Amino acid sequence: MATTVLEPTRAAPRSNWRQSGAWMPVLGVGALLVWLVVVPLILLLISSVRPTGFPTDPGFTLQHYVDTYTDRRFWELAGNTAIFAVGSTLFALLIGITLAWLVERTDMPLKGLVRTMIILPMATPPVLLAIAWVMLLSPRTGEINALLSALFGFEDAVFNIYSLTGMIFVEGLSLVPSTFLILSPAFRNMDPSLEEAAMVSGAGIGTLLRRVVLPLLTPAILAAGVFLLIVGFVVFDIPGAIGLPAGIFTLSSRIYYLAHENPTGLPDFGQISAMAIFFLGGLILMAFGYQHYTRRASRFTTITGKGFRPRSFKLRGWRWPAFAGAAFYFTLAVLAPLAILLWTSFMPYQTGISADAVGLLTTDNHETFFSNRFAVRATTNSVTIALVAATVVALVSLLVSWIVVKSKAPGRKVIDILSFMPLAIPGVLIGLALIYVYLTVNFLPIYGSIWIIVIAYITTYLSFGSRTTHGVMLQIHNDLEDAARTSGAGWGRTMRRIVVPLAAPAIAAVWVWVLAHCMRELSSALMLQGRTNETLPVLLYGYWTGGEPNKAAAVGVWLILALLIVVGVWQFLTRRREA
Amino acid sequence: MTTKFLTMLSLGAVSAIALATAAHAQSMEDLVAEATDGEVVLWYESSQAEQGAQIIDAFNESYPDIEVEHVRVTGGNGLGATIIQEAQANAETASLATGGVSHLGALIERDLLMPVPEAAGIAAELMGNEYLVNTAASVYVAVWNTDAVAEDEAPTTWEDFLDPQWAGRIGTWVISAGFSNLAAEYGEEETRSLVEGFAGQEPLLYRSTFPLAQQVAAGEVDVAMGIFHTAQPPIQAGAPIAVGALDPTPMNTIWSGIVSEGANTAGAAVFLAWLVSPEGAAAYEAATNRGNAIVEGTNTSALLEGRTLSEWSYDELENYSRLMAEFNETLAAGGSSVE
Repeated sequence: MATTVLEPTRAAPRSNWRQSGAWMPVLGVGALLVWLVVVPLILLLISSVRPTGFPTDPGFTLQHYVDTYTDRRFWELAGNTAIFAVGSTLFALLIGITLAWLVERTDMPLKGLVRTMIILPMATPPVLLAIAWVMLLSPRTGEINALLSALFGFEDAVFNIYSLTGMIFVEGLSLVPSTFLILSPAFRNMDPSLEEAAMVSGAGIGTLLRRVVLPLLTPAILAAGVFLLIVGFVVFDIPGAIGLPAGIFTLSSRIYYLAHENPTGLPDFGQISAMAIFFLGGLILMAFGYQHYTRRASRFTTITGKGFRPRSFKLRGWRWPAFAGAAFYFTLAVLAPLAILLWTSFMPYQTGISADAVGLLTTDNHETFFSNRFAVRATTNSVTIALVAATVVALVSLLVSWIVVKSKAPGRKVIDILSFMPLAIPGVLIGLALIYVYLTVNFLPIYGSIWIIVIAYITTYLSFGSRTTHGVMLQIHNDLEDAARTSGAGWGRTMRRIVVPLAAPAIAAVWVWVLAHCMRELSSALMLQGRTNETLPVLLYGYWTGGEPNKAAAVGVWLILALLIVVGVWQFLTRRREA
Repeated sequence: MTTKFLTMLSLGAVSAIALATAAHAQSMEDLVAEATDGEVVLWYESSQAEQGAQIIDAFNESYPDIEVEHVRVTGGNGLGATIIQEAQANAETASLATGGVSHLGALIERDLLMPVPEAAGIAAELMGNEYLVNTAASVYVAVWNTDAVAEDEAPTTWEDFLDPQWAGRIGTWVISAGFSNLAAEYGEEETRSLVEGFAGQEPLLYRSTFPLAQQVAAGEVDVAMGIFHTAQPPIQAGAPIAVGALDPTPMNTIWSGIVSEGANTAGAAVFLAWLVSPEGAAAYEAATNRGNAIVEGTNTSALLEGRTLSEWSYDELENYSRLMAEFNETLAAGGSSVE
C-alpha cells in the first residue's frame, strides 16, 4: 500500500552532494548556465546603456531607461499586456488542468487519442494558427460567424476575433498543450488512494478537486502559471496577427516595431534591452515567490518507496460526457483550425470555404514544397536542431531540477533562477547576444551554422524544461534516493535506476515539447540565419512574408504530420512501458 | 590575443587591398577579372532563397565565373544590424547589400559602404549618391477586391480612400512608409490630414503588405493602400483583386550598396551593374515582382510612366523618418477603434 504524504512531515535529509560524487554535475550545470544565460544577460545589460544599443559601440547612457519608463505609452501597453497575459494564463490553466486530470487520472475513454490530439497543436506555427482563427472568427469573413448567421439568422457577427478577448481566447488555446505537458506528469504521479479516501468520506467531485487534487498539484500549477504568464508577456505571434490589425498593441508589438520597423533603419536594441529588464524583474519576483512557496518540498511528496501504484479514478456516468467535453475542445482548438489550414494549403490564394472555391483546389503548394531545392536542407537542419536541442534540454532540465530540489549544493537557488531567466528575454535579444558571443569567440566557430541555433534553443527552452521536471522532482520522496545510497549506489546509479525512471514521463514530455517548439520556432532562427542554416520555419516564413500563405500552410501541414508521427511513437512507447 | 590581433590585421589589409583595387579598376574587364579571382560574393537581400537563386542563375549565364551567394536577411532593420555586427567582429560579411534607404543610410554613417566604382559604368540617373544604386522600387498603389468593389467604385485619387463607404472595409500596412513618402509631393499638411481621415475609417493594419494583399483577396478587406509587387502573387494565382496607381505615386526606392568590408567588392560591383542593366532588372523583377522604376522594359516603369513620383531624397531622410513615426501613431490610434 502506498504511503502518501499530504501534511508537512519531517523531510528526509537532502542528498549529501559532496560525498556522493554529485559535485561534478552541479559544477557542470552551473558552468553551462553561466555560459548560456549569464553571458547573454551581460550583453543585454551593456546594450541597454549604450547610446546606439550595439554592445561593442562606445558611450554610456541611461537614456533608454528614461525613455522607456517615463513614456506613458509603455505603461498603457504594459496594462494591455497584463490583461492579455493573465487572461490567457487563466484560460489555459482552466482547460489544461481539466484535461490533464481527465487524461491521467480518470477512466475517460480513448485517452491515447485525446492525449495525442491535445499535443498536436504544438506543431502548428502560431502565425498559421492565428490566420486560421482569423478565417474562423473574423466578423466579416469568419466561417463560424457565417455558419451561425446561416443557422440562426443573426444579422451581426457573433464573434469578433479582432479584440483583446479574441487574442486571449486564441493564445489560451495555443498554451493548453504546454499546460497539459507541465501538469500531466504531476497528475500521473499522484497517488489515487487520496482521492479514494476523500470519496469514501463523502466528498463530491468539486470537493475532491478543491481539497485534495489542487493542493497536491500546487507546485506544478504554480510552475505552469508562472511560465504561461511570462510567455503571455513576451509572445508576439498572436498579438501580431490578431491584435496588430485592430490596433491593439502589447509590449511585444512594441519590441517588434523597435526591432524591425524602427524609422532610423537600425533596431533600437538599447530600448528593447531596457524593456527586457522589466520582464526580467517580473520574472525574478515570480521565481522568488515560487521558491518561497515550495521551500517545504515534502508537503508535495506523493511518490514514496512504499508501493506506489497509479490507478484511474472512476468517472462512471461521466465518462462519455467528459469525452464529449474534451472532443469539444479538440474541435475548437485542433480540428477547426487544422481544417482551415488544410483547405488553405490546397488553394491557390487565401480564400474562404465555399462550393465555388472547390474548383480551385490544387496540389501545387505541396508539390512546390517537395520540389524546392532548399526544402531538403531546411528539413535536415530543422530535424537535427530539434533532436539535439530537445535531448540536451531534457537532460539538463533533469539535472537542474535535481540540484534545485534534491541537493544541498550551494547556489542552487541561483541555478534555479538562471535556468528560468531566458524565458523573459525576447528572442531577438537572445539572437543579438549570441551573434556577438560567437562572432568574437574564435575557438567555437559556429556563427552562421545550425549549432548557434541549437544553443539559442537550449537557452530559451530550458525554462520550460526545468519547470516541468521541478514539479515531478518535488513529488519524489527523498527516501527513495536514501535507500539507494544505503544499498551502496553512487550518484550516477541512483539517478539512472531511481530518479530517471520515476521522472521519465516528465522527461519525455519535455523532449516532445522542445522538439515541437524547435521545429516551429522562428524569431531566433531568423535572427541567426546564415548561409546554410535555414530551417523549415524560416522557409515557411519566406512563403508567408512573400505573399504565399498557401505554400506556408502546406509546409505547416507537413510539419504537423511529422509531429504526429513523433507523438504517435511517444504514445506507443509510453503505453508499452505502462503495460 | 596575438593570433586574434594578427587575424584582424590581415583581414584589414585584405579588405583595404580589395577596396583599393575595386575602387581603382580602370574598366569593367578589370573588375570582372578581379571578381573572378576573388572569393564568393555574398549578397544580403530580403527575397526568398529560391528567388535569390533564380536571379543568380540568370547572372551566371552572363558571368559564369563569378560566384554569388544570396543570403536572405529579413525585417529591413536586420540588414544594417547584421552587417554592423559582422564588421565589428571582423567576420565574413556581405559584399553587396540591398535594402531601404534608411537601412543603407545607417551603413553609410558608419563608413561601411564604399563608393561604387566608376568602372562599373552605372548610369548617373540610377545613382542616389556615390554609394547607393537604384535597384528596384516598392510602389504604393490602391488595391481592391474585384468581387466586392465595382470597377467604377475603385479609388482613383487619394481622397477616394476617405469615402464613408470604406469605413471598416479598408486596410493598410501598419508602417506608414507610403504616406510618409507621399508627403514629399502631396504636401506635409495635406498628407497629415489624409492620414487622419484614413485612420478615422477604422482600418485593419497589417505587419506587411503581403498578407494585406492576401486579406484583400480573401475579402477580409475590400480596399487597401498596398504595394504593387506584393499584390502580384495573389493576382498571378487568379485571386479577385486589382491594383491601380494614384497620383502622386509614393514609392520607396530599393537601393544597393557595396560593403567596404566585403570579401569580393569587385564581384559586387559587377553583379550590381548587371542587376540594373535591362537584362538584370528584368530577371530581378521576374523573380521578385519588384521592378526598377527607371530601367525601361520593366513592368514597374510601365506602371509609373507619366506619373508624378513622390519620395524623399537621401538628403531628406530626416523628413521621411519623422513623418513615418508621426503617421504610425495616427494610424495605430485609428485602428484601435475597431475593437
